[in-house]
Amino acid sequence: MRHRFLASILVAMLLILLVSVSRAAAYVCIGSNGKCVHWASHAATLRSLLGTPQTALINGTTTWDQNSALAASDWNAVQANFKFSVEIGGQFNNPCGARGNGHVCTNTGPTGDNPVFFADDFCGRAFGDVIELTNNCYNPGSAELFNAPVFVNRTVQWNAYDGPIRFSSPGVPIYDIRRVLLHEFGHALGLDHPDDANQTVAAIMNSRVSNLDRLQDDDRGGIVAIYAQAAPAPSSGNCAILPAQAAAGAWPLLVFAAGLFIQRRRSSRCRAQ
Amino acid sequence: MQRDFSDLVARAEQVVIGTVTKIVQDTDNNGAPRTLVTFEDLSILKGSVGSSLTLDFYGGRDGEHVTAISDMPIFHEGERAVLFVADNGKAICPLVGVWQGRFRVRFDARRGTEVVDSNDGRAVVGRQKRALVLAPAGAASDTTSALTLDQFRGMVADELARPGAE
Repeated sequence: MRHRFLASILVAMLLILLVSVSRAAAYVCIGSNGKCVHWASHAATLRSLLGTPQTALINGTTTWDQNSALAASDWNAVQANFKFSVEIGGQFNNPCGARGNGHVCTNTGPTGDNPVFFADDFCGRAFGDVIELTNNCYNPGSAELFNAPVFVNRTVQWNAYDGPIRFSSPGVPIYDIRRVLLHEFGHALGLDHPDDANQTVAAIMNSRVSNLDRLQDDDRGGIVAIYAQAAPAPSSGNCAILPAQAAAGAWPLLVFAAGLFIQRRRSSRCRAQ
Repeated sequence: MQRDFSDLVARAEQVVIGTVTKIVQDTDNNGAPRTLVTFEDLSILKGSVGSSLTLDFYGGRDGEHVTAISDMPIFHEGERAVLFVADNGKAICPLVGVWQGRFRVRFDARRGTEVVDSNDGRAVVGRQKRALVLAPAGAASDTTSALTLDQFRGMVADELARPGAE
């Protein structure tokens, strides 16, 4: 009888845990061949060529490039097994052009060169409603990244500020370059949009620019997971990976069961490419 | 760039409902990778389209590698969608508001009709002024209040008929 009672308690606790885990945040990586795309060296250099605005920016910075450095610094501060280096100014190697000697992919420039720059279009194609983009070049088998140039649409209004989105007139936003670069550098790291995977989670990596201006736990969990090992292999396609900390604080007796559940969730949340 | 429903209708050169019948990866005139997604079984709500519509999305297989932009919607053969199309072949993404211009059409077996979800799988449940109202994330397959495809089609028609609309 006592065993039945204990078993009932355990089952109840397990159910509560499973419900809470199933609702937990889950960052999404850009998947390829069952892996998250990633930098094999666990490091990448960004060359910021955004330059200087005509007037000082709202957040007190005096150049756009300072905001590139701040955004990269935010990712580095996560203390994941990955490091961005930022070089400001220097040689601009236009990433637009055919692949060839030293260029692994089209429109991504020399291997390992990752410029961050304003552009009027994307290599001859109109931006349309895109305000910025990262053009990731990777090997589909190994999921290893080679380039991730960041194109910033020059035709929209930019500034740099903290807090809620500002507008120049109703419906016309002034984009905060720091949070937008934070998002793009997340793509350069291999992260995708959690909201596109039908999740509601606070994340700078959500597809929509929001009032969030700094990395969130979900974003931090993403980079830690991708670079915790050479390349986690959740499943094929764009995969949502439940963060390991989802089970943190759970009763030790139930961690094993939760782990099994997490593994199953990893497999079931993948989207085919 | 955020686009509300009125923007989607106004800015679209074509609004169509269709089924993906073919997905091809090739290169454009500049040798850049692109993914061509062909829709057939079309129902045209705005603009002029032939019997099929092929949309040109930047990115895809690039020799032995892949170049990809994360914001690009991904399609699968057989899926149905409502599409708000603009600058096809000229822009990186031929949809107004990129992912915002793609709605998924799914058959709701319980109700015996097609219903409409946003690109991120949230059911469209109504409209408030210029914006669409979506079900909370994760509720798409459970909601009974999802708009049917016919209701959604009606909303597009109403928007087009609104004074001042294109």
